[in-house]
Amino acid sequence: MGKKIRREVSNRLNQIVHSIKDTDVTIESKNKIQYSLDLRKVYAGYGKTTVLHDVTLQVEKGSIIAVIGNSGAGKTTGIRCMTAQIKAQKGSCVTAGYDVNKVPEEVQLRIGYVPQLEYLSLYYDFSALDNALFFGRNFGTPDKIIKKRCIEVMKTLGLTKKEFWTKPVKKLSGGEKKRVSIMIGLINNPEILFLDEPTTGLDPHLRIEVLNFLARINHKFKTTMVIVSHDLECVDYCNQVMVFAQGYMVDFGNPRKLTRSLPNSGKAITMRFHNLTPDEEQSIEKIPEVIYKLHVGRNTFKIFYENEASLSIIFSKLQELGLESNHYHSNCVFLDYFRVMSVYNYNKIVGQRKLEATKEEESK
Amino acid sequence: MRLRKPKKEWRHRKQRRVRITAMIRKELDWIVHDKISMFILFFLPIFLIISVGNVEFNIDSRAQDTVVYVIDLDSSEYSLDYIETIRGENFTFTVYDNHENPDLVTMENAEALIPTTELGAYLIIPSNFSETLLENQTAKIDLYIDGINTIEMLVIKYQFISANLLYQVEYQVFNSEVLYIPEYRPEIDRSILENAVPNMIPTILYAVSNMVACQAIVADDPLKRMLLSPTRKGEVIQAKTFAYIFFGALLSLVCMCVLTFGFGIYFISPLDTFLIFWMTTIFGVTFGLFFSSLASSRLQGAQLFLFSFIFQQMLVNNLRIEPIVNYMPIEVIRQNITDIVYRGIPFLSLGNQIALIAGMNLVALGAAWLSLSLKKEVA
Ligand SMILES: Nc1ncnc2c1ncn2[C@@H]1O[C@H](COP(=O)(O)OP(=O)(O)OP(=O)(O)O)[C@@H](O)[C@H]1O
Ligand SMILES: [Mg+2]
Repeated sequence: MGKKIRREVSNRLNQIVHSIKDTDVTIESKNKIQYSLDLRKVYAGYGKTTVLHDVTLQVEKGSIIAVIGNSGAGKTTGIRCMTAQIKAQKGSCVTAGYDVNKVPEEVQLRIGYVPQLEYLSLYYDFSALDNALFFGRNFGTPDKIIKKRCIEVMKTLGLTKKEFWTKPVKKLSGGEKKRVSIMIGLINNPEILFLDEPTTGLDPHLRIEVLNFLARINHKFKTTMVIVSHDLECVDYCNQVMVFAQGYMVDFGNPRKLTRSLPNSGKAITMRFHNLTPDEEQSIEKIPEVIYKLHVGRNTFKIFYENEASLSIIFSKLQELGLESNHYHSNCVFLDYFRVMSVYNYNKIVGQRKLEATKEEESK
Repeated sequence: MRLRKPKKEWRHRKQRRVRITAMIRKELDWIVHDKISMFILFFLPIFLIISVGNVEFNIDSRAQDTVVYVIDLDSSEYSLDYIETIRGENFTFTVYDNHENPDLVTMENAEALIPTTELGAYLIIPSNFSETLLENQTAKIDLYIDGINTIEMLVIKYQFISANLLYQVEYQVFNSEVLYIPEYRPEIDRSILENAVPNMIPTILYAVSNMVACQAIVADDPLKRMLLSPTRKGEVIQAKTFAYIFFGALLSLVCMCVLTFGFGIYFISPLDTFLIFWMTTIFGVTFGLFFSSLASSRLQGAQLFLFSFIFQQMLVNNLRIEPIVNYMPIEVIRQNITDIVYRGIPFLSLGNQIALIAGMNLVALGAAWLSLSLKKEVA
């Protein structure tokens, strides 16, 4: 019981520490900051095809970053470029202080990578400790230190009993395997840990659990984390999100700030209509005071408006249209932001970027 | 301060040695843990040696009960002598002829019984048999052998060929017939196992080590993740080669022990014998690693093994197309193993052959490294 509370408290603290960090990045300290990730106009892809276009971003040490985007948006490609698995075709990609194109080995010494599929990335017939030795020795670390670190990380990840370290990995449960895989990613005490979909395929409870553990690791070892995920839950744990669409990075920033950048600081109204024909649905959209309209359920919409005045105009216009609804006010979460942007904005941004690119090429 | 200064410590020779040693240790652990690999590697060759060593079967015992009918249409001194010859203790025939058993040995009976197990063969001595021999021309005997059991058929055929020769020598009958006698020289009573060693050992040692090594890279799924450390692909090949070659040495030793202590096979120079055995497994390992780096799935690894093995067997045993056949690992070993194992020729005196062997292994490893480097999915 006491442990649970302590865990809760440490997570809370962690979150608070992070939220403080986001808000006060003081200008004077900025020059000293050594970025964990520093990408300038990076293009990357496979062979001659370019998947990732013109990505520029900086990530501070110790932060947790979420990489989100639709399937095929280029998230994995981005991660593979940052982890020196593929070269940047253009631009410079600096990870942990080293250029991935010039000295990939230096980069690899200082990063950890947790691939999506454990069964392809662990020796199943061996224990977690053996796996740690297999992987850790490749970094030139002495056995003693590997063992110590393995046990330390496993404990932090909630695998405190000795049997978890000594049992063959194949005899562990899915969530335990995932954590062993995360431990392997941390075996070289990396400055940055990259995780490709660490929560996919886990049950909702375990998803939160794994994220809690990651936050704890981040807190304890000051490891920068880059988490690729389809589950937007992880955004809650992050200082920054990167949003990819069609190979472009279309959004980058603090998720809470981004959410607040929605109209009316992210305060919207959810309306559930009794009956709605497609025509009536269109007419709601046409009300000029409705900035964004988001489908959130059957005949249910989240409506974004500028301020209280525009809200009352919306109500009166709905009355004119003879549309009755139950409604309640709601604060938006990042999911809403992401959905709004996906519907209204990201495609436009991609279009613009593409246009800029062609213009630039023409001018050359 | 965007960029840090590279430390390049991962490049130091010591670091590299640490990594390779680590990989070798991992590999050894991995193989020992992989029960199927261990089974293939050790059980199969030893099982084969033991079963061939214990088997009672030999050519003569197979044909013990062969019943032969002789229909003598000549009934001369010559034909009776011939019948005596095949009745002799050199052969394992039970002979019935139409003089002693005129009711039993008839054309009808013979034709009816030949497809059954009751009759192994029948022959017809033509009426002009003695006449032809007196004229020094080739006498023809019609021989019909039960063809259903191929091995038995061969045994009977060879016995008749010997019988012909024996008859000619004993009774001073010479004609232009070309005769063939299966013969072992210089020691006729080598055991079956001893006879099998020069063929069986290269084949089975190469096969098992190749089969296991064919999975070395392609089945090592976490290798992809391992390559995200400063470990290079060349180091992986080196480590795997060392680990598998170590097991090859162990396997060679175990096989020699079973052959020597289990079946009393005497090797003139155990060291040279060990070297050629080990060489065989090294061939299997280097070629296996090449196939493994080429394959993109476990199944493909196994297919490459099987294909290359059958291809080699066909070239070595049947087609023998020059000069390709001389570069088949099994053939290279086979050409040298008998001399080393039974004649005591030192391994080192093979000279050019050693250079060829080493060269082929290095080429295989180079190819493995190249194909692994070109493979994009690995990292
Ligand atoms: N090895 C490859 N060779 C060529 N093209 C590839 C390769 N891997 C991915 N692509 C292409 O690059 C694009 C981006 O793929 P990527 O794997 O980065 O997407 P993703 O955002 O990670 O998607 P998901 O969420 O489904 O994992 C896709 O259009 C894909 O077809
Ligand atoms: Mg992906």
